[in-house]
This record gives sequence, structure tokens and C-alpha cells, in this order.
Amino acid sequence: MPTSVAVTPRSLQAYIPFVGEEVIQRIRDLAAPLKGAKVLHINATSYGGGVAEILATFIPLLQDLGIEADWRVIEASPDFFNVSKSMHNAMQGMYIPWNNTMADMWRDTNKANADGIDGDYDFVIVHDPQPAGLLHYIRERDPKVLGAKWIWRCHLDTTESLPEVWDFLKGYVQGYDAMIFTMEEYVKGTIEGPKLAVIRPAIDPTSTKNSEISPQVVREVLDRYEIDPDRPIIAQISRFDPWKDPLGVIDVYRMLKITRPELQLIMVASMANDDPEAWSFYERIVRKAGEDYDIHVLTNLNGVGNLEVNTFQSAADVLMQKSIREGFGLVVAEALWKGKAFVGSPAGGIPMQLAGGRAGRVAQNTEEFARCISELLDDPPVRDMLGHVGREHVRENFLTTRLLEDHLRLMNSLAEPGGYSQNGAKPAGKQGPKAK
Amino acid sequence: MFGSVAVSTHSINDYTPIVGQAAIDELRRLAKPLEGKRILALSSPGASGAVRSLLHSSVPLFSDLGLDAHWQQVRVSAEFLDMDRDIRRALSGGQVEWSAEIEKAWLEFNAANARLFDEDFDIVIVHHTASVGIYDAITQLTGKRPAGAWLWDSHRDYHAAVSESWSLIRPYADHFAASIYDYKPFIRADAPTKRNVVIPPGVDPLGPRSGAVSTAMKQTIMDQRGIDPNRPILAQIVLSLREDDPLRVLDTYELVKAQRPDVQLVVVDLLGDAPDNAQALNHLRERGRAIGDVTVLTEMDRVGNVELTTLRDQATVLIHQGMPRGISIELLEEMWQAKPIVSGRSPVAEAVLTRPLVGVLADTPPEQAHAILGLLNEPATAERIGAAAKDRIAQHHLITHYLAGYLKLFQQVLPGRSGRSASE
Repeated sequence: MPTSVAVTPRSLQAYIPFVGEEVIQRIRDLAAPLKGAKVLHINATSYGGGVAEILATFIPLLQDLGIEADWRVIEASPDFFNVSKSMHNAMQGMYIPWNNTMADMWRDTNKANADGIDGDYDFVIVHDPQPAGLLHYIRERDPKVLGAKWIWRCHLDTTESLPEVWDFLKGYVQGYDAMIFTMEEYVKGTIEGPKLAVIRPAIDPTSTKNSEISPQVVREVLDRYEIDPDRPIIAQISRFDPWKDPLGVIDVYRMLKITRPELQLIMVASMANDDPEAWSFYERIVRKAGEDYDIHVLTNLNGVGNLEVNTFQSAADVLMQKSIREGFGLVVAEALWKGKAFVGSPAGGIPMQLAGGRAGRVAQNTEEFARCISELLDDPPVRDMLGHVGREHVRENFLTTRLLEDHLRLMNSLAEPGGYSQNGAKPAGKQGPKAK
Repeated sequence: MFGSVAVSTHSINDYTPIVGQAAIDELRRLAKPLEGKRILALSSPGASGAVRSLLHSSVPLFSDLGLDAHWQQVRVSAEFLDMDRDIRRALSGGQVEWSAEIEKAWLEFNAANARLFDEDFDIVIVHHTASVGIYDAITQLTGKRPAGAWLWDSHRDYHAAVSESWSLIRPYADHFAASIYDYKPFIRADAPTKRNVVIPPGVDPLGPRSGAVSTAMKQTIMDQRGIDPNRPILAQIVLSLREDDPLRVLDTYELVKAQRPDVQLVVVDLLGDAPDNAQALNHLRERGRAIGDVTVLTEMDRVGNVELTTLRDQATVLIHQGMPRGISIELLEEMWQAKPIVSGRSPVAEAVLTRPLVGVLADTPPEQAHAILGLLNEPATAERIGAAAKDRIAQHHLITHYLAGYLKLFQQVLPGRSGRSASE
């Protein structure tokens, strides 16, 4: 059965310094009609991955607003996670041979977890494809249990999803009351029934990755990684895979290095030690970097954590994201939040985060990247101006508080009239999923 | 060819202020006859942080000392991931359902990597035990033994190994010129190879996890994590919880907290997202909240080198549960940070924390709580123990000692030399 995840309490008050009291009050007002509502978020894992990271912040903030939020993760075998990984990849456009055995494994796991869902909820938010079948099996068990509002939150870029996998999944998610996608482009074909919402992801300004750090601390961290704080630095913080074009990043650096021998490049990625493709690509990057020790290829496996990433972003003169293909690319918002000049490709959510060029430069190819970065390195006032616009753009659009507002609005639009009492009792005549 | 791992440049001269000119001169003397020799350190993508940290520090220093040193890693393609994990677990005494398939995959894995080996080295050090079959695989593939002296650095204590796993790798390891162990108690009575050498791991005093931490850094980290720097802090930062009793640290903490309500606990566990570990961490969080003033940091918190160093630095007493079968570089790094350590007994803890007294060995929660309370109540004693711990590292466990150990061994095993046994 799905297991409950303990979270560390958080207070919305902590966000006042970043967004002001007015925004916090607006959130409290939006949450007022939902006070006492019982909300379940359910996903596949409590550790690792962006969804878990979001929920670890989101759940305690909902609790702080008086909403009875609970987070559970489904229980599944390693075989299921192999299937769901394939499914995840297929949803993002990779070809996988989808077959009945995989479909059965997915169905059985969803059914078993549906049998174990207890408690009655007013809202159930199911994240990504892994547990998306829960609603189907809970209804199959007891068709009358329809009280809760069910929302399916798809965090994936489904633009090029494999038709057979999407069609399979569609049969299970059509019955939801609402669906959330990250970008308009990710909504696949015609979806009848559920209310559709587009909610952008967000960064947490209170996290170690995004908190402001002093110049003294920045120097100290750079020193530990043998990076010279007094020479210019460019950086790309992104997975080592072909879609992020790290080899192209080295090309850009090499073009700039001809006339700027002082230049340093930092490339940071999070690596799993059981991902052979990522390692093979890492080796290509290292080979290409050769014996140029001004190229710093760093990963979590050498102990690079959130503070280090924050530092490298804060220390860079120009940050870049040279993706050939990109999902939303939240790392752009992270970088802009540090008040940095940014050059990004026109892939996925990058141009939107760069406000179409107002908050950073958009470059199409290696030469353009080199030219934009070169201009920015030569022009500190423009760097500062772009950095300032970028930070304000993030403050308005890509902080946790905006994510919270969007979710509360959607929940309000689905809420039953009459409100939710503190003890979690339903409005008259309604009943949510309950214990078997 | 294998893939290379990114390294930076280091100069051995930078270490002079820490270890003294005589130690640097000795390293140069040892390195002199090895000038230009091609040395390969071979690890795997799954290498532990400790192995990475040792190679990251030592490979550039070998180069600076005049050796032609390289760090590469074997390929572990998708079909071999399970085998690699099972062999590692089995050798460390973990529960693994042993099968003929594992052995078959192991042979195929080594054969596949043998095909990638296309360079000659004077010395190859295999740091990945599942790769010890590569020496024979190359011999089989090419019809002759690969050039150079081949060394196996086992890194872990294999006394509890599942017998099938040990029987599988032992005959292959036996073909190596020498086996290297981190600590003497790791050497099994039936150890392969005639030459068993102990080269203890060494702390890099100039590495990213060493060195002084500024006041600004302390303030940044303590603020971010909501820890009060003005109250005593106990910390268990060992990158993994005790498998058989993950909540033991809380039993200890609860006993201490009853006597010293001002105390706080920090637990850092970066073991990853194995379901069992997730459940243990969940319990740890819930119970920690009930006791109060407990900060639990996990993989999701992305605690890096700088934060680890700072948390250790801010801890009043550091706790270990005495589980390590491996390198335990973290324990040595904490000692280098001059911290009083209370640890459960283990071969490593007993090897480094005793004679002279440089830490406190305590197994059960009441014993640990008693020791911690003693240290909290007697800061002068805590400081003396911390200083003794640092001194022990300075005498025996710096990266320069590690380099010296290796250079001596290289001299002995280099083809054409008839070195005497370096057994200790």
C-alpha cells in the first residue's frame, strides 16, 4: 500500500522577504475556502527526482495554510520501476517496445496500491504516469466513491510521446477531474472530460540552491574547487546528455578562449552511477576537454552539492543553456534568480524564462553563443541590467509562491460549495476514497 | 580504450607547509626511479565517493612527481549493472541470491572490458574488485599476459563475503602481482597473492573536504539548515545508516537529550533512494521530530563537500555506529578536523581510534550517551581527544603517506625488479 512520507515543517512567512506581504496575503485568501480540506499528493518516490523535491516543499506549505495535506508514495517492485522508467522515457519521445507484460505490471501495481488507499480525501493529486491508474481502480472497487476531486499532474514533456504508450495512459487519465501540464505544447491531442490547466514549475528561493550567498563564501567555495575567482567564468549547469549539448558548450568556450586566455568554464551535472549512457557521454566530454584545466567538469559524485551549484551560478559572469532539446529547463530560472546574464538556446521553456530576450539573450548556434557571451563579458553594465531584469522576471513568474497560487486557484475551481470543516468531514452527500 | 575521468592539476610543493620539506623530499626520492613510468588507476562508474576522492587527489600528484599517471574507468553497460551490484553486495556480506548467471555475466563483463584495453602500462592498479577478472580475460584474448605489473586494491573488508563470490574472484586476484588493503584487519587468512600490502587511505589536506571553514560559511550553512550554532551539536555524517539498526543514533540522542536539553542532532545520509533506506529515513524523521531539535539531511538535500565539512566543523561531538567495512575516509577526515569522535567498534574504528586514545569506542546507546555526555561536560577533554585525532592523521593518514605507500610498492613490483615482500 502507499506509504506516507514525513516532511519537515515550513512557514509561508519565510517567503515574505522574496515576494512581499501582499503576495502572501493573496495566497492566504486563496487558501481560506480550502481550509480543513484533506489533500493527498501521491507519486512514485520520496527520494531523488524533481517531483519529490517539489513535494518536500509544497506539502508543508499547504499544511501551513491550514490544508490537511498528506504525501504518499506507491509501493512497487523493482520490476515495476523498470517498466515505469521505460514508460517515462516513452512519454518523452524515446522508442521502447511497449508490450502487454509491461502494461500488466503497471496495472497490477496500480490496482494493488488502489486497494491500499485509506482515509477520505477532498482532493487527490496524482503525479506523473507511474500511479496514474489509481483512480480507475478505486472507482472499479467502489463506483460510488466519487467524492474527491482527482487531478493528474504530468511533469513530463509529452510533445513527442510514443503514441501507443500515450494512448494506453490516456484511457486511465481521461476520468480525472483535471489535468495539469507544464506547457501548452505538452497537451496531447484532444482530451475530453478533465479540466485542463497549464502550471509552470517554480524554484524555491529559500532552498540552499537558491539562497543568497555572500561574496566571501563564494570565494571560499571556488578556492576549494581550484577555480580562480579573479578570472572570468562561464558555466552550464545541466545533465551530461546529447540534448544539452555539452560538447557544443566546449566549442563555445574554445572559440572565446582564443582571445580570452583567462576564461574558465564550469560544467556541472548530476550523475547516477548506474546510468551507462550518461557515463559514456561524460567520457566524451572529458576527452574533449583534454588537458585544459580551465575546464572544470564536476558532478555530484565528486561531492558537488546544492551549495556548490549555487556558488558556481553566483560566481559566473555569464551562464548558458545550449540545449538542442529541452523540457521546461528550470535551471534557467535558478540562474536568473542569481541575477546573472544568461544566454540560452530557443529550446523548450528557455525563451519563455528569458522573457523572449528581455531577461537574457537567445542564441541559435555555437557562433551566436560565442558572440553573445563575448559581448556580455565585455559589457558589465549590460550584464547587470539583464541580471536585474532576469531576477525580477523570476520573482514574478517562477517562485514557489506562484506555483502555490496556481494550485490553490485550480483547487478552488473544482471545490464543492460549502467549504471544508477542520475535521475533514465532507460537504453533505460527498464521500471520498476510504479504507478498504 | 576505457573512458578517462576528469582530474585537475596539483603540485606536491603546495603540501610542504603541512607535511614539511623532509616528507616532500622523501616523496621525490621515491618517485625518482619511477619517472615517466605509465601508471593506470582503473576504477568503475560505480566507485564510492571515497575511492573517487583518493584518486582525484593522488593521480594528479603522481603526475606532478614525474610519473605518467592516468585514471580511467571500465565500462559497465546496462546488462552488467545487476551483476556489478550483486558482486559488490555479496563481497561485503550482503544478502544476494547467488546464481550461475552472476558468474557468467561476470566473465562476460571482464571479457568485454578486456577488448577495450588497448594501451600498455608499466603498472595497472585495479580499484574495482569486479574487474579483477580482466587480467585473465586479456591473457585469453591476446594469448599473452598483459604488460606491466598488475595490482589489486581491494578497498573493502571481505571477511563476511558470501562464499561463492569470494571463490569466484579469489583465483583471478591471485594472478596479480600484489594485493593492497586499506587496513591490516581486512586481510583474510586465505588472501590471494603472495604480496599483501597495507596502504591506508590518506586525507587530502588541500582537498575540497578539508581546510578551515570561515565564519561566513558557518553562518550561511547554519542559517540555511536552521541549526543553532550556539548550542551543542551532535552529528552523524557517515553517508549511510547502520543497516541493521538505522535508528540507533536516535536512541543515543534521546538519552543525551534527557540530560542536556540544549543539545541538537544532525544526521546526514546520502545513501540514495533504495526503498528500505527511504523507509528508515522516514522513521528517523518522524521520531526525530518527536524528540526535537533533529535535522535529517538526505540525498534530496544535495549536501556537498563544503556543507559536509562545515557541519563537521560545527559539531561538538561526531558519532559513528561502527559499521564500516570500507575505506572510511569520512572518519579520517573528521579526525583531521580535530573532532572528538564516539564510534561503535569496527575493524577500522579499532585500527584508527585507539593506541593512543584518539576517540571513544562505545557500542550501545547507553554507552554512547555516557561518552557523549562526558565530552559535552568536559570540553577540555573533548578538545584534547580532537587534537590527538588530528595528530594521528598528520602522522599516518595524509595523502602524502598514501602516495609514499604506493611509490614504495611501485618500486618493488615494477617489471625487471625483484623486490622483497612488502607485507606488514
